This record gives sequence, structure tokens and C-alpha cells, in this order.
Amino acid sequence: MPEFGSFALLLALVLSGYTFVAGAFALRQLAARRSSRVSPERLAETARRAGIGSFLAVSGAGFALLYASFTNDFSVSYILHHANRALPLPYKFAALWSGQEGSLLLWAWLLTGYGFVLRLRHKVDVTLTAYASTILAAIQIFFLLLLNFAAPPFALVQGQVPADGFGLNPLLQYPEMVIHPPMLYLGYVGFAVPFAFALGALMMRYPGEKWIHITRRWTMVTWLFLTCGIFLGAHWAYSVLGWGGYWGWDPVENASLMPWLTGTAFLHSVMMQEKRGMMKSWNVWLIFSTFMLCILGTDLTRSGLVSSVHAFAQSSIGTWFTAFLVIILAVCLFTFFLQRDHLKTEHKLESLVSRESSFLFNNLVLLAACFTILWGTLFPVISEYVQGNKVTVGAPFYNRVELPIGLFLLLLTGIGPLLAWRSASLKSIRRNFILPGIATLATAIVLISVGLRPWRDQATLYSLMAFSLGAGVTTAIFSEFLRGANVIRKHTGKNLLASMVQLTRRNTRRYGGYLVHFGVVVIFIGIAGGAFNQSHEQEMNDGQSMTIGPYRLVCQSFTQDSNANYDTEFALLDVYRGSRKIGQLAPEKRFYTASQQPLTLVANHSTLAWDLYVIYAGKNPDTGLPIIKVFLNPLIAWIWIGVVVVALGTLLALTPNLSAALAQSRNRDSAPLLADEKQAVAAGGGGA
Amino acid sequence: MISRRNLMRTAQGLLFSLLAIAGLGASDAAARYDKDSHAMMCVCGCNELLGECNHVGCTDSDAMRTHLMASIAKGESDNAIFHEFQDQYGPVVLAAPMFTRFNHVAWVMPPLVLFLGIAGTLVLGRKWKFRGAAHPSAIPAPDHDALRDRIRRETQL
Repeated sequence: MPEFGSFALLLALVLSGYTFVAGAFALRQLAARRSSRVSPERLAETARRAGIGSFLAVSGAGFALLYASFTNDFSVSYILHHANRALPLPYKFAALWSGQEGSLLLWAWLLTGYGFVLRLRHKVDVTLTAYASTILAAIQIFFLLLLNFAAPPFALVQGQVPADGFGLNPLLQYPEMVIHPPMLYLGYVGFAVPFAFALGALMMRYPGEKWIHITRRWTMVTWLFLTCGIFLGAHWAYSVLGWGGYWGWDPVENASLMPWLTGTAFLHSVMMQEKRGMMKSWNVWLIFSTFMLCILGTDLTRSGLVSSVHAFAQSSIGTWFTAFLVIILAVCLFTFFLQRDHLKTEHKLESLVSRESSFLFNNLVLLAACFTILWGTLFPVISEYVQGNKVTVGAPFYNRVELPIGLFLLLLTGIGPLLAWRSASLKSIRRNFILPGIATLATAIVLISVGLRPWRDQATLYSLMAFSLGAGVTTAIFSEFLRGANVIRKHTGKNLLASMVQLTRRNTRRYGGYLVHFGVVVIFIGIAGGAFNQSHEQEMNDGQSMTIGPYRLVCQSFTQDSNANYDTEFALLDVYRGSRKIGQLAPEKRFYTASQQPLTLVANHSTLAWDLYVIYAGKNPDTGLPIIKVFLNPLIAWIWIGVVVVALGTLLALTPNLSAALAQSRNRDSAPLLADEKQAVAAGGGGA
Repeated sequence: MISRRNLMRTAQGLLFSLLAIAGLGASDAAARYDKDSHAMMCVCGCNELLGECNHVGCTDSDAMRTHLMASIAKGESDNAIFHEFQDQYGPVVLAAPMFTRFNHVAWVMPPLVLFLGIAGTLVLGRKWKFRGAAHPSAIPAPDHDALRDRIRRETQL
């Protein structure tokens, strides 16, 4: 099997190479309108098929690595280092992405998988897809070169093969780890598709904004994957790392957040290009930057440039990524300067109080947040270069700088949708903002009157702002829904709920977007609860109790157990609220035999108001008693609920409009768009 | 035989007790301990804040916490404590750069970039507004708008 895997990877490299070379040659012929013995259309078709073949070849390699993992083939060095016989089956699957070589194989597989779908759906626009396919093939070549020469996943063990493997990192032996990395990678890799379309459209001087329409779903699905990946990672950190929090501003976490921020900015600013033909250069650079940040993040964590608890060991692979990043930047810059006249804006900003300007500010704030994270991540390296010593840029820095930016963004989330395109009149501003403004102020007054003291510390001030702004934004969103639904109700006589459903179906993108905004508000509410965290640590003997907030924990027993994979110690704690027992928690500490590493398993009693988060911190070696640390984390559950709302909103935005479905059925008989486009190309003197 | 870990815990307990009976200053000291321990990193390599380092077998956090509590009990200022820790463990012990020399740049850059961005957007917006009024767009926008509408309709599903 290892030989088959190695061969499949080499075959995939050859096929990707052919896709790139033949595709580029065919497109060049088409652009220059030259004729040759083999028609460029036929050559492009062979390139497309080779691209499809590359996916099958990488799938074969992935299957070979999984087979080696499931059959305990420890002659494969990667399997020896990331699996063992006692490892449960789902984690043998997860071993595929638990190390450098395997995760690169997952990158390559997902990349060729996205390419596979794109190449199958080439009829949506044959020429543009051919450009995108060729660019994707170039990216595939990079990853396949890595897999074939720099980090081969099928390298064999030298000398005698050990009877058992060294096991999977215990931190990764958690159910979420089976889905978190693939989700995150689907997000990272997925941005290669809109990047390829944007670069392709620029290269061929593609007329109009159809490339944005084609890639809109790709971008949204990718963004959704990245969002889910990031929050699954946060939930995993919360459940496994056992420090009571979910986001530590670690460089790897930062690396995932940066493309998410620029991707979010892109999703907003493309609307200006779609509706008004504005921000063309900006949008192209946003998607270029998003993809480059995906690569930069991978580079940062794999090169050893910055230290991280997640980072893979320093290796020469970082140099490959740096070189790749430089090449991407050079290609993007070259193409942009060559074709920049094609990106002239069609409309100018007519008013600073308009939907367009709110998008501009939204983009600005998102990019400022992204810059802050990049700056904080790289500052230790810059400091070492300038001052000769490394400094730490950790949570206190980000909390101080990012939180005000985040609150500003929350404010814009409420303002933006209430402003009209082109220019908002004073009357409409007054009408749209009065209710949200009252809700914001009323919430602040109520919270201060019930005991919140924002002047005491910064955390409380930020919380108060988040709650108040959240109330304002929620009011703005629902008043938009109600206003639209009322109009439908008046015209159709339907009830309000049915009118709201019809309204949403008429413009799923708009109202899906509002739902996403509401999800963001809910997430902010959850984050704001962090200002009121409490914690307590105590050694506990049988029958002893400790109290935190409204809860009392009584230690019933503490014991230990073992199985083939790990030894475990845990305490059984009865949880009381007042005199009523509400459940039992069993915080646990495991020690994995193969890897000789410990793992904390948090016991969590989660409610909408707060999480009772209990950690088995270890045993006091002298008394033999377990040390129990308890956190009372308010409103945490709302973060996860908010993510579900964001996901539902995105899915809603992805569904077709009712009117669009009807329009499409009406338009089926009309002339195809391609004819119009060809005219536009001829008129504009465009390329292929 | 009393282990080192137990000794450290006893010492921490004693210090906390002393702080607790110190009257008015007690709550201040506990709050300062909480604040300062979240402004420093554990130096064992776990990449966690000192106040949150909880892993078994940590060789550094107990000693560092005891040191911090002793410094607070002595009445040292936060700044003096941070300098003391920096001298002992190196600059990486601080969870965020202090406001000294080049480190100022770390704090100044993000708000500066945001401010410049906002100012630039406002200037650009005004410029566009006036230029737009004086010279209407040379590109025949209505044709493109119609094409754009059609593309949107046809690619909606």
C-alpha cells in the first residue's frame, strides 16, 4: 500500500502538471486567436480531464494512508508516529491530519476535490473555468511537490519496524478533532477557488461581474466552513485544554481568524461591485489577500517563525511556503498592474451616509482587525530583529486592542443595513434609527440600574457596550423584518408570520444576511459574559464541598481506572443548586500509554445563564486528594448558539430566491447570456 | 517528608492568609494578584497565562506565583514587579509588551492604521463625491447595469 500511495501522489503531480501546462498553452492560443495542429479547445478539454484525474489520484493516496492507519502498518513512518494499535477507529481516521505530512495530503485532497467540482461544472462558463482550473492546477503542483519531495507521507521506517506505534497526540483524541481540522481546511483550501476565478477573470479581462456571481456560493460555503472550523476549534479548546477559556490568541488561532476577517470583508464589498460596479480593484485584492493569508498562516505555524502550542515542529517546509507566497504575490501584482485599467469603477461614492460608505467602513474595520492580529503575531519577530530580544504578544494585548475594534464592528452591523444605497435621506435615517437607538440606550440604563458598573473596570465597560449595542442591532434587524413583512401583509392579507416567511423567500440573500448579523450579535453577547467569570480551586476529600455562585459541589468519590489506550483518574461530584441536586459531574485526567502524555477532560454543566466548568487539576502527592478547579462562566452557551444561527443564516442566504426561481423558469426560453457576453467582449476588446 | 510542591502550596496559603488579615488592603491585593498573574506568562513553555497555568507537573508556575504574591505583599508597584520578573525570566514573561522604547510601536500601530484608514476613507469619499458631481462617469453605466441585472438573474440559482 505505501508504494501505491507514493505512486498515486506522483501520478497526481504529473496530471496536475499537465493540467497547468496544457491549460495555459490552450488559453494562450485562444487569447492570441492563433491556430495550431491541435485545436486549443480540445487541448483545454484534455487539461480539464487531467485535472479531474488528479483528484482521483490524490484520493487514491489518501485511501492508501487511511488503509495503512486502519491496518496498523507501522512500516510507514507517519503511521508509526501518529497511531497505535489501541487507538479507537475514529481517531485512526483523524490520524490522517494529525501530523505535517498527513495534513498536507488533506490540503491536496481537498484542493483537488474543489478542482474536481469546478471542472465538472465547467459549462457555467467554459473559458473562465479553464482559467480558474489552470490556476488551481498551479496551486495543486505546489502541494504535490511538497508531498512528493519535502514531506512524503509514505516514507518508510528505516531498520526494524516497531510492534506498536507511538500513538496520537492525546489532545487530538477528542470527538471534535475528527471534524474540526477538515472543516478548517475546507475553509482555507476553499478560498483557492474564488482566488483562482478572480485572478483568471483579471487575466482574461472578463467583462462584468459574472465571475463574482459564479464564485458567490463558493465563497459563502468556504466562509461557512471556516467559521464552523474556527468555532469548533474554540469549543475543542474550551472542552479539552482546561484553562476555562475558548480563545487564547495563539498564533494558530490567529492564522485562522485573519483570512476569515478578509473573507468577511470580501463578502460585503462584492455587493458594491454587484450592485454599483464599484470597488473592483479592492475586491480583487481582498480575495487575493484572503488566499495569501491562508498560505501565510500555514507558513507561520510550520516554519517555526512564531512559537505556538499548536505549531508543527520547525522544518524546511516553511521555506517552501515562503517561496510560494512570494510567487503568488508576484503573480497577483504583475497581473493587477498589467490589467488594472480593466478594473475602473463605474460609479463613485455619492454620499458618506449611504450603504456603500457603511460597507467601506465595515471593510476598513475588518481589515484593521486583521492587521492588528497580523501585527501582534509578527511583532515578537520584529522585536527580536530590532531590539535583539523576543517579547510575548498574548491575550492582554489582543483584548485591549481588538475588543474596541470588535465593538465598532458590532455598531456597523446595526447601522449598515439601515442605510439606503447611493444616499440616505435625513428622514429615512430618523425613521430607521430611532428604535434601535432607544433600545441601545434603554438597555444601557437598565443594566447600570441593576448593578453593572462600567466605570469600575474596562471589562465591565466593554460588556455593557456589547449588551447595549447588541440590543440596538437586534432591534434594527427585527424592525427591518417587520417593516417588510407588514408591507406584504397589507398587500396579501396573510398573517405576520407567513408574511415574514414570504419576505425571506423573496430575498434569501438579504434576510439570510440579517440572520447572520443576528448570530454575530448572539456571539458577542456570549463573549461579553466573560467579564463576569468566577473561579475557585480546592482539594476535596469524600463528602467535602465547595461553593461557587449558586452551585454547591459535593465530592462523592475519586478513583482511577485504566484501559489499553490510557490510565485515568476522575472525581465524582454531586452538583446542588440550593438544596436540589441537579446532576453529577466527573472531571477526568487521562494519561495516554503510547504517547506518555496527559489530557484533561473537563466536566461541564452548561445552561443558558452560565457554564459550571470543572477541572480535575491533579492529585496532591502528599495528601492523595484530588485538586478540583471550578469556573463559573456566564453566557458561554450563547457563543455556540450564535454560531448555529450564523450557519443557518448562511445556509438561508445560499438558497435560491422565490422570485429568482420563477424568473429563471421564465427566462429558460430566452437567448443565452453567453451571446451578450461575447458582444461585450468584442466591444471592450477583451481577451479570450 | 514535605515535598516541594506541598511546601509551595503551604507558602502560597500562608501568604494568602496574611493578605486576607491585612484589613482594607486585602481585597486590593487579591485583585492585584489576579490582574498581575494574568499579565504574565508561565515560563515552562505551556504558552499559558501565569494565572491560568493549571497543568500537573509544571515546574515553574508555583514558584512564580509565590514570587508574585510576595512582591505584592511587600507593597511593590505593578511596574516594579513586572521589571523584576522581566529581569529574572526575560522579556517573554510579560504577556504583552510594556510601554517602553520600541514596544510603543506594538501598541501604536493598530489604532494608527485604523485612524489613517478612516481618515483616508473620508477624504476619498469627499473627493469621489465632488469629482462625481463635476464629471459624470465616462463609462456607459446604464448598459452595464442592465447586463449586471441580467447576470444576477441568470446566476441566481
